Parts: sequence; structure tokens; C-alpha cells
Amino acid sequence: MGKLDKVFQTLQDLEKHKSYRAFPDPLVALPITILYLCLLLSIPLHRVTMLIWMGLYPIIACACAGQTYGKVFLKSLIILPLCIFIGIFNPLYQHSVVATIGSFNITQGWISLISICIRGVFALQSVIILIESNGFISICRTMRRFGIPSFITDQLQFVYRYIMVILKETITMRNARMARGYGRKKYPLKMWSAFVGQLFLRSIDRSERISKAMSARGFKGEMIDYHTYISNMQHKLSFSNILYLLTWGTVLPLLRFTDLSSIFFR
Amino acid sequence: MHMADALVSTPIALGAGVVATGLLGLAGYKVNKEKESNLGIVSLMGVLGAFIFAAQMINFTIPGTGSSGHIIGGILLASFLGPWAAFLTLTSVLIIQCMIFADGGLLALGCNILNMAAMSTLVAYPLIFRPIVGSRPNNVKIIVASLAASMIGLELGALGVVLETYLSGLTALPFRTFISLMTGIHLFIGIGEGLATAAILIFVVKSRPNILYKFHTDQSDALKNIKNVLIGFGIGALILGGGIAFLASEYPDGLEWSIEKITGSTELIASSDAIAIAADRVRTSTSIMPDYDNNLSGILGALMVLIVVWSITYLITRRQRKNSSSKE
Repeated sequence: MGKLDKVFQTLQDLEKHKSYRAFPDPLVALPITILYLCLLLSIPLHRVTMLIWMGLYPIIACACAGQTYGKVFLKSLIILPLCIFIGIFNPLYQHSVVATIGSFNITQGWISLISICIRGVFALQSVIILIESNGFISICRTMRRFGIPSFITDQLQFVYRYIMVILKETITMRNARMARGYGRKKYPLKMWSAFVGQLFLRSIDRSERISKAMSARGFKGEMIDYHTYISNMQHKLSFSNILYLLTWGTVLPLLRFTDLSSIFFR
Repeated sequence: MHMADALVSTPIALGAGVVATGLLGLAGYKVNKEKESNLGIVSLMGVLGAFIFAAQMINFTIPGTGSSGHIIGGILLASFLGPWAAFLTLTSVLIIQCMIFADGGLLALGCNILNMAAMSTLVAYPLIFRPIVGSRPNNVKIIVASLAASMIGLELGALGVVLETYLSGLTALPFRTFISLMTGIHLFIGIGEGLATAAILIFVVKSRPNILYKFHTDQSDALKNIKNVLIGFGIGALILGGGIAFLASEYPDGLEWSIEKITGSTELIASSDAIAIAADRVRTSTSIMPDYDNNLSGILGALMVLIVVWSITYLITRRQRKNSSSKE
């Protein structure tokens, strides 16, 4: 399966799996995720135990959202090569020994490399859980409710909706090219520029058609469905959502500022 | 060049987020103004955002190397949409890539917007691309402008990554080594990006000659844009510099500050109790990381708790999943 097909599949899966009555409500999940990221990334690299304790959030949040943690964990491993690329030089420069297991010395550099990997994996897990349980459009609407201007949220929704359309067109063009290409899979620069240039011109034509259709339906520069959505969504948060918000709002700072290992496993 | 959350500290991420938000506000103002005369810009930005996303999936063969690369698209977008609309469009692509495809972190989004969107659309395009291409573009001008703007835009972005990672204190690499490593890699990427941008621009301009953005605005507008960009960056640099100086200072963090206020020191005073001293001696001798505030039992304990919690939640959710699948 090519890169294009994989991306197309990911988008389709996301639309299929999202729940319209997600728990926690995106109005709760978004601020909690941001709080979690702020606290997680503020932990110094040498506090490995504190970082590990922060792993409680993705596990429990996953269960609350009805997702399988194993799958989220595997997806989050995608970040490891990047973390290793940045952290791999640390063992070469930070030689001071901070621990010894048998005859094996653990240096400061190795600890910081491990910490960078743990941070990366947990941070990504929190974002995966947020998006997979709520869907992208729902997060955009929540951002609008938090006062983020419509020019950003409209643009995000627009791009998100047309990614599928343009991807489909790209896949059709690629298949046509493959059918006539006598098995050639590579794109030399000249052929590539003609292919992508053609896709660009088609996109411009499509945007003109969309613009005309929108004008014909009374578009004045801002998407109307937000207003109707917001007025329809003046609901109060359920008790379980408020409890979720309060619990994590208390537990997360506690995990960040208290070394639970020194209390329970000293 | 997408920065993950793991590569930045909270103060740097928030500082960059503030600057990026300021630039986004300015971009929104500019685009809203343009909407009054050209409502089609809304759909054009949306569809071209999706186009850039799709174009990034098609790799071209890099001659003589056997490897392949893809376009990033900052200069390409700016040359059709103008700097501010292109900045907004590229930002939306970055947000979608971060949220759906795990390319770049959510908290590091501000850093990524500055490094990848702002540097190419708000710096390289108005200061390098437009002056070189001028009012009468030809193939040579397009190639030179695309190469120069892409290389400088990417190098500035790489510089941003180095500064942000370095100021976050996450790499032990010496600054000079890190910067030469990153700028070296991105010089080659910049050449590839420049060639790809030029190839598309030449193809599109040949098909539709009047499509480039500069034909829609006169030169005085361009100069005004540059002035605004420089003012925006100046303010951003001041905020970021001030924020970093305040947050990343030598002073203790919030918790340590509180302890210092109470005890007069950032370290808690050890108990003078004989049993406590003995216990502490045992702990120090058995601890594998005495200075690191970590010990093996602590790490293992925390890991065990995670595994137990995971097992419990797995059992609970498995029953729920079974129930829901049997209902379906």
C-alpha cells in the first residue's frame, strides 16, 4: 500500500471510529490534554520516575474513551526515531555516572535519552486519544467555542474536508499514470512537476467551482453552521464530565509536583 | 523538520505559541480584509491547503542519489496566495498533520508554525522570492528565486529548531556542532525544495501566465507587508526573549520557590532523627541513582502501577467492547 492510500485509509478510519457522543466531552478533553502536555513537558529530564507516573493519564483516559491502550501505545511508537535522533548524542557528551547496575554504569546521557523517548511517547498518546475519541471536526468546533477566531477554525475545516477529495483525485491520477507507465514507479523531476502542476491547476479550478457554489448559497465570508451549532450546543456539561475535569485537574498537578515513588516505593 | 512535543520544554513551547498566535491574528486581519474584495480566497485557501497535503505524498526522484524527496510548499503557496494567506493555509496543514498524523507535537505547534510556515511565507517569500522574480517573471528568475528562497527559508527554520531544542535544554550536543549538523542537512533539502518549487511554478505559469500572486498587488503593498512582518517579528522576539529570560532563568521553579519561601533553601532539611539518618544511609547505598532522585524500586514501582492500571482498564473496557459488539 502506497503512502497516499495509507493516508486515505487513516482519514477514513478516523471518520468511522469517531463517536458522536464522545466521553469525555471535547470541551473537557481539550483543556485536560493541554494541561497534561504542559505538565509533562515541564518535568526535568532527570526525573524519570515522575515521567513514568505521568503514564497513568493516557491509560485511564484511553479506558474512559473506550479505546484500547495497546493500539494507542503501538501508534505512539512512531515518534521514537525522532526522539532518538535528538537524544542519541546525549550519551556521547554527558558522561557523569548517575547509577550503577552490577558492573554497568548508567550515565546522565542515557537517562536523558530515555526521558526524551518517554516524554515523546506519552505526549503523542494524549493527542491520539483526544482526536480518536472526538474526531477532528468536533475539536474544531470546541476550539471555536473557546473563542478561537472563525478564520482559523473555518480554514481547518475546509482543508480537512477537501483533503479527502484532493487525495482521491491524486490517487486516480497516480493510477492512470501507473497504468500507462509500463511498470515505472519513479517520478523524475520533470514528470513530477507536470503531475503536481496538473493537480494544482485542477485544485484551482475546483476552488473556483466551490466559491461560486458557496456564493450562490449566500456565503458571506464565515461558515454559518458554526452559529447554528453553537446555539444548538448550549447544553450543560454532564456530571461525569465535570467529575472527569475536576479529577484530572487535581491529579495531574499532583503527579507533576509530587514524586509518588518516593512515597510508595522508598 | 516537524518538532515533537518531546523536543521542547513548556516555557519555550508556550513562548513560541504566543508569537505564533500573534502572527496568526495579524494573518487573520489581512485575510479578512482581502475577503471583502475577493471572497474566493476562502475556498482557494482551503483547497490549496488540501493540495499541499496531497502533493507532499508524491515523491520525486533526486537525480544521482537514488533517493526521493517531496515538496514542503511554503514558497509555492505564497506565490499564489500571498504571504499572509499562505501562512494561514500552511498553519492549518501543520495543525492537521499534528493532530491526525502525529507529525509534530500539539504543544510544539507554535514552534512548528514559526519554523516551517512563518520562515518561508513571511520571511523568505517577501524578502527574497518577490524581489528576485520582479514584475516580469521568466524561467531563470523563477529558478533562482525558488532556490534562494527555499534554501534560506529552510535554513532559518532549521536554525529555529536548533535554538528551541537548545534553549529547552534537551540536547547535550555543543551548539556549534548541532547547528552545523542541522543546517548542513537542510541545505540539501532546501536545494531539493527549490528545484521542485521552480519546476511546478514554471509548469503552472506556462499553462496560466497571470496566476502568480504578485500580479494582484502592487509593489508598495509588498513593501508594507515586509514592514509589518519585521515589526511583527520584532515584537515576537521581544515577547519570546522576555518570556524565555523570565521562565528559563536560574531561579528555582514554582515548587522549589515555595519550598525556599518556607524553609529558606530549595532543598528540604533532612531530619536529625537517628533512625531517619540510618534509613537515609541505607537508601543512599542501595539507590542506583542517588543524585537523580530516582531509585530502582521507584522506577519499578511506578512501572508496576502502570501495568496494573492498564490491566484493570483493559478488563473493564473489554467487557464494554464485547457488550457493544454483541448489540451491533
